[in-house]
Amino acid sequence: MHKLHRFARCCRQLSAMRRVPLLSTNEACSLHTSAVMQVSKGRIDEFFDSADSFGKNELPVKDRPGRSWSVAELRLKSSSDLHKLWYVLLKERNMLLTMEQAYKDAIRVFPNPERLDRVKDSMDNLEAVVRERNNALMELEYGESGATPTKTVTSFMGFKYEKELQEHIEPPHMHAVGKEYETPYLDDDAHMMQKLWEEKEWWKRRNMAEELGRRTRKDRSKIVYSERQLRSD
Amino acid sequence: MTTLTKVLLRASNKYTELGYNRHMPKSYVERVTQAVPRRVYDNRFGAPAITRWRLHPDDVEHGEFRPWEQKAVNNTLTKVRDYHKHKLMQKYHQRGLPQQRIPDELWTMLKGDLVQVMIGKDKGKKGKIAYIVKERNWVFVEGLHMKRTISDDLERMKKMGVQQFPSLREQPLDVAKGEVMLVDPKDEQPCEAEWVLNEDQSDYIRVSKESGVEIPIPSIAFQTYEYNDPKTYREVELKDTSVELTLERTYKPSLSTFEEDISKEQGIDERRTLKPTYWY
Repeated sequence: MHKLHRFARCCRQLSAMRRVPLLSTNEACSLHTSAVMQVSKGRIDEFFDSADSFGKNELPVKDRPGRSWSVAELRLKSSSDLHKLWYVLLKERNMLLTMEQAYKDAIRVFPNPERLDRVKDSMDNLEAVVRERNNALMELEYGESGATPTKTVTSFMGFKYEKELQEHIEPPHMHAVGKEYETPYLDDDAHMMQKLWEEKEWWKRRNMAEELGRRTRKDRSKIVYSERQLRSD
Repeated sequence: MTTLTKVLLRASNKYTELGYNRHMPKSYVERVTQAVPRRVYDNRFGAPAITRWRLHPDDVEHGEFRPWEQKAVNNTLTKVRDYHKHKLMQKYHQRGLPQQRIPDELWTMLKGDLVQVMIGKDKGKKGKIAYIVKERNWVFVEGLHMKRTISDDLERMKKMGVQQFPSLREQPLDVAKGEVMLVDPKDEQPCEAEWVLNEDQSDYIRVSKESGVEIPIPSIAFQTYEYNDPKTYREVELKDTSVELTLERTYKPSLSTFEEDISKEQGIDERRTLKPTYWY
């Protein structure tokens, strides 16, 4: 285990969560009767940030939560753990968005807005891991991944591009969309469109290369470490 | 030794990650530097999308403040405003060149290192690195290469009739131009350094190119925005997960999807079969 390894953020301890049982009907009833007691125990606090941070522009170093969950760490977790973790992250995101709005209303600075990005990163990684597992199983059992299928089509302007397919109940011959396909040859209009488009793009690239050359010649001190990326827009 | 074991035992180049914003989410830095699309014009019958940026990523200029600090944010906002004003007035706007930053694999300067200044009135003097801006290849040396400056706040104080005091501030030194160099621990002469594998091939170390002596990494080099020292880091209560829990392996491969696992756990017994559908 690497000493410098730092641990993922915004999670209640998983072991603590494992101890929380699912609510049976009786327990759900008792919740109603003791609602006030639950509030006084601090359950409503979970919707807000800790009171120490209120009105601060930035959290002190000791209160700054760690980094987001990485894909490698999430791959170690079972489906059940991932499911729980998703709701922990969702709760945290809800809390942060609430606090952000509250600070906005009060025209104050929301401390450490990067926490929202950390939660988003974690949730994206979690989704990626779930998709990865499901796709692996699909490939094993059916020989194809569960991802949305795509096909190459040619537009009326002569561009060939990948199009995401949609799910339909009717077979393709009953729909106009079903008849889109890739054409090997373009008609006259599309052909001319493509020729002119290529010419325009070529001029853009050439002008940009000239411009970059002119400006680098002006400042010879610049050291080039990698090939320049030419920008077309 | 199998190929897989070799791959697993290969030393990781973790030194490339060292830096103050090591754990800062990339999306957050993009957001505060305004290097995000303002609008993407897409769905153009196969023609590539047109992106109108808030500030083109090549125009982002990192300065002596971290991108999320208030002064840096103010500078960025001014830049964004000017750019869109030029666009509206159809004025010529010279876009910035892509940053020529030293690749992380070749970057050897770390916070707390003893370095020698090679230019200016402090030429030949040695000092410790206080601040690094990797994006600009900049290094600030403690108490060296200083300039008398009047900060913005003091200018405002002058307007209000308060006496202003000029203060000394460190100025940036460019590593790519050789304005600052590491000091060789053997003969205390300026040297270039490189990252090489150590004897048992387990980790990368920094050695001087001249003498081949190892230059130790100062502990302050591991400082990030979240902590000063990873060894003394304490998990934030109710927010962080502990080391043991994070690295605990609870996944057991099985022939069921995520949804099936959860249905089974929740006692959902779904027996209906889906009708065939067509994808087009």
